[in-house]
Order: sequence, then structure tokens, then C-alpha cells
Amino acid sequence: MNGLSRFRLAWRTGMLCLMVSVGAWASSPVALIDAEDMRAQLNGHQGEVVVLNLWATWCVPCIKEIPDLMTLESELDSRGMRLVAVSMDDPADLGAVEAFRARHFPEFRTWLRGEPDMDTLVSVVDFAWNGILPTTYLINREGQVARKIQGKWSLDEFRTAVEILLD
Amino acid sequence: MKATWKLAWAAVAALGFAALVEADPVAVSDEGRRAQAPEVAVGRDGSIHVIWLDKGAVGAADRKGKKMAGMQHSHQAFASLMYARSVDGGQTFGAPVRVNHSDGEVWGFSISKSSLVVDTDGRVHILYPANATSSTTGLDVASSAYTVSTDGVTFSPAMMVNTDPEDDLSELVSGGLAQAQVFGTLSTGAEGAIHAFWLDTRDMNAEDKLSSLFMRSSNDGGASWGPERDLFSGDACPCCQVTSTVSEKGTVYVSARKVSGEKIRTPFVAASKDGGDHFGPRVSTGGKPWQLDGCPLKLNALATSGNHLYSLVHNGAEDPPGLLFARSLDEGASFEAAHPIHPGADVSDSPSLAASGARVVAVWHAKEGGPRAVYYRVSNDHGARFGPVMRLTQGEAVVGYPEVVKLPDDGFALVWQQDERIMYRALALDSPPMDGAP
Repeated sequence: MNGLSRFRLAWRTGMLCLMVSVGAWASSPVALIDAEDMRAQLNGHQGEVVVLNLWATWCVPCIKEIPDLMTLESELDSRGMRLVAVSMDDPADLGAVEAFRARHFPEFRTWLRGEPDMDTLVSVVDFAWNGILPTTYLINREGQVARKIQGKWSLDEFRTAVEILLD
Repeated sequence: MKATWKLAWAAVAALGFAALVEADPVAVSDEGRRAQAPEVAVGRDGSIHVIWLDKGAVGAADRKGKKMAGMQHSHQAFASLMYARSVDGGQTFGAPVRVNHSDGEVWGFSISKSSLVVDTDGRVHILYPANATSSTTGLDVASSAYTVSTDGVTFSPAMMVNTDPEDDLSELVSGGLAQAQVFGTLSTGAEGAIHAFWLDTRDMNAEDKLSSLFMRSSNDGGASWGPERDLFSGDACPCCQVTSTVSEKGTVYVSARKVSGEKIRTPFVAASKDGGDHFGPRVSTGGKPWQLDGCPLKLNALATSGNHLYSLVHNGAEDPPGLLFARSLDEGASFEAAHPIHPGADVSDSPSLAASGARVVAVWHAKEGGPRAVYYRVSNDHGARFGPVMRLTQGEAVVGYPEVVKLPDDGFALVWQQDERIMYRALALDSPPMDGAP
């Protein structure tokens, strides 16, 4: 192996480590999301079916629903479903929300609203949101809200509704 | 914009509806602080008392969270409760003082309000949800803390009005809390009576029991308290705030939501004519059945005048979802059909009511094709008819969570949240009798 090959190998190894570490970072800690980021996030998923779930640490039905949403994601990820979860807890409580996530759902990837007012963030997808949690939006491949779900749903209910959009 | 306002006022005057003289708004909370969820009360002497949640300095998020995350603590909502008073009719407010003794002690967010009342002796009583440690289990809980101020400057050490249950319900209660005795309210009656109500998880189980509606009363201005009582057990919506009011005759009203059948969440009122010792049956305030396996976090605003009781509450089953007004002419024994208070809104929420004689003022926030704003309507005939929907706030600021209260001079006062500052404005109503208003 000449010097150039060794350099390439080292560079590739370094990049791989970086990607793995970035991937691990991106899949775990809670991060703040504001309205602009939300718009970009959803635009980035054009062509996929997005399950946008609004939850909060103080909302029992939301917390009961999280394992089902994670299962749904693992089942339908390969078919183009993306779960985008956003905690509606206060942005000032970022550390506490992260502690909650790490303690109860370590594999759960979620954002935390970065806007002081909940409605500012949710208005990106729903102008007339009425503050109910959980609220889940099923967004089709064209980026349109195909269904608004308020209250806890079962895994079967989600699966049936999302598969219609995936087909 | 000014021309629009002039046209609006001219239209209102021409229609003979309640004309409103509005003073300029006054900022109550400090600039640079994140202030939320205001409440307002008025003393017999005209003093105006405001409380609100303080979530820290703007841009200083996460301080509490990081600290608590390091401790593996399960409380998720950290705030302080601030208080300010005006003794000049709302023209100026004193410097805000912190109600809770330890910073971040309040389990609070914009839809988990604290409650305050001012008694006939001018004492300020406050009930707030507190991050606490159970005295029986040592586990993290959220409790209802009571404090009182006689001078409007200092507050007594917090007293938990609820006892600490022995069960660890952290698998049922949100956020890993072992118990929650929160979403409470205070009301004050004659001769020093103070009533505290809250939603209590102690009867909750995984099968069929939800929260219970608890209360505790003091008959000596908060100096001592009677035993806590389970008024309605196991079927109250766990995350719907409780409200309460007391009529001039001393009838105590309490409102929450009952969950029945397939998660139907029905707002109700129960009345006590013996000073809170016994409550009658729960009476629905109306609206379509709202089925929801979720957290409505919607309180039922109440106000009373004479034998009349008024209710304003959000119903997610309406299309579009919004606030329904209903009135009772028989002290809460029954309610007339509920109707939308803001039919043209895309969504309306966060209701507040105040009444004086035949006049009823309803205040809320809503969206009507644009940014969220604070709106109000006025009735001069005991809520039989209302004048037009009026918009109080203008512009692009993020506003909401208004509260209205009656002033001693028959005027009304409002507080609301505007870009995370608390604003105050007096409303002097100058209105002819309404004739034929819908």
C-alpha cells in the first residue's frame, strides 16, 4: 500500500467514523425545531409519507402511543414512511425532555418545539390546530396533509391509514 | 389600520351594541423575561393583582433542564410564578415579585394555569402546581401548593393542600411522576371561605379509573384547612383544568370534564348551596359529544351574576372546533342550549368570562384567517344575546391566553400574553341596552 492509498484508507475510515458518529448523534438527543426548520424538514421528505406526531411528556395518551409509532416506523421505513415526532413541551425544558426520552424511549428520535408558542410551530402544517395532544398528521408523498388524527390511535389504525398512502 | 378601527367603531355604535372605551395596554411583566399564562383578580379596594408563569430570561432556555437531567429527575416543567399589583387602577404596576420561594419550583406551562383570589380583607391567595417530593414515598410528584400574602410583597411558605398518596403510579401518570394533584383552582366566598379544587390521580388505575376531583376548604382566610374531600371519583379528565366560582348568594360552582363511554369528555358544572359541604349532580354545559383519547387541556370558564351562571368552553367536536357559550338561569341546575361564541373563527380557545348585573363579557383567543388575536363579545341582557365579535389585539405579535375580571366600578379588566409579555388593559363599557342583537 503506497502513501496515497494509506491516505485514502485513513480518509475513508475517518469519514465513516464521522458519519457513524453524526448518525448516532442525529438519532438520539432531542433538538429544538422552529417553524422554519419544520418547513425545511417536511420539504426534505417530499416523495415520502410522513407521520408527524405532536406529543408532550405530560400527556399520558401521547406516551402510550410512542411505542406503536416506533413500531410503525420500523415496519414501514423501507416503504418510504418517515416518523417526525415533535414534543410540545416548553423549549426551556430541553434537558428535561431529553432526560425523559433517554429514560423511557432511548431509541425514540424526537424534536422539541423551539418556538415559544406552540401554535407558531404547528401552523406550518395546520393553521387551525386547537392544541389537542396527541395530534398526528399523515402527510402524503405530495407533501399534503392527508389526515389529521387527534387522540391516541392503535398500531393497527395507524398501519391501515399509512399503508393507504404508501400504496 | 386606524381607518379600519374607526369604521368598526362606527358600525358598532350604529348598531347600538356595547361601545367600548379602551385604555392603552400596560406591560405588567418585565422585558426580557418569558412570561406566560396570566391570571388576574381585583380587590374590593380596586387594587389589581396579576400572576403569571416565568420561564426564565429570553434566550436562556435549558438551564433547569440540564440541571435536572443530570440528576435524573422526572419533573418536566420548570417555572416560577410572578406577582405584580397595581394600586392606581391599572395605570402602573409594581415590580414583579416571585411567589414561590425556590426558583423553578412551579410545574407550569401556558395551559397549566395557577389561580389567585383576593378576599374581602385584601389578602391575596394563590394556588399553583408545584414540583415536589412526596412526603410518604420520597418520589417525585406534582402537588397543589397554596400561599397567601397580606402585603402584596411577601408570600407565606407554600403549603401543599393535598395529602401525599402512598401509591407509586409512575407507570400511569405522565412523565414518570408518582402522583399528580394539579390543574387546580381557588375560589373565595363570604366570611373568609377559601375553596381549593384540584384533579387527583390517587384513584387512577390502568383499567377504568381516571382522575378524581378533590377539594379542601378554609373558613378562616387560609389560616387553617378542613380535610380534603373526593367529590367525584375516578372519572374526571386527568388533564383538563378545574374552574370554580362563588355567587353573591354563596353558591359554590365547580367545573371540570367527565369522561364516560368511549372517551367522551363532557364539561360539567356542580353546585353547592351550603358553602361547599355538599355538591349536587354534575350538569353538562352542552355541545356535541367530544370523543378523545388525548389531552384536551381545555378549561370551562365560569361567571355568575344573581341566579345566572355562564359557561364558555372549547369543544373539539364542533366544526370548526371552538368555544361554546351556555347559560343557566337556575343556579346551575340546567343549561340552555350552547352556541358558538365566535362562529366565523377558524378555531377559538382559551376562554374567560366575567359578569356584573345583566352584563356578561366573554374573552378568548382565536384565528380568523390571520394571526391569532384576542377577541371579546359583550352581552347586556344576562347572556341572552351578544353584541358582535370584537378584536382587541392587532398586528403580528403572538398573543393569547386572555383573562377578564370585573372591576368595582362595573368596568372590566383584561390581561393577556403578548410575545411572552403580560399586558393589562381596562375596558370601560359604555353601552346602551341591546335590542334584537343575535
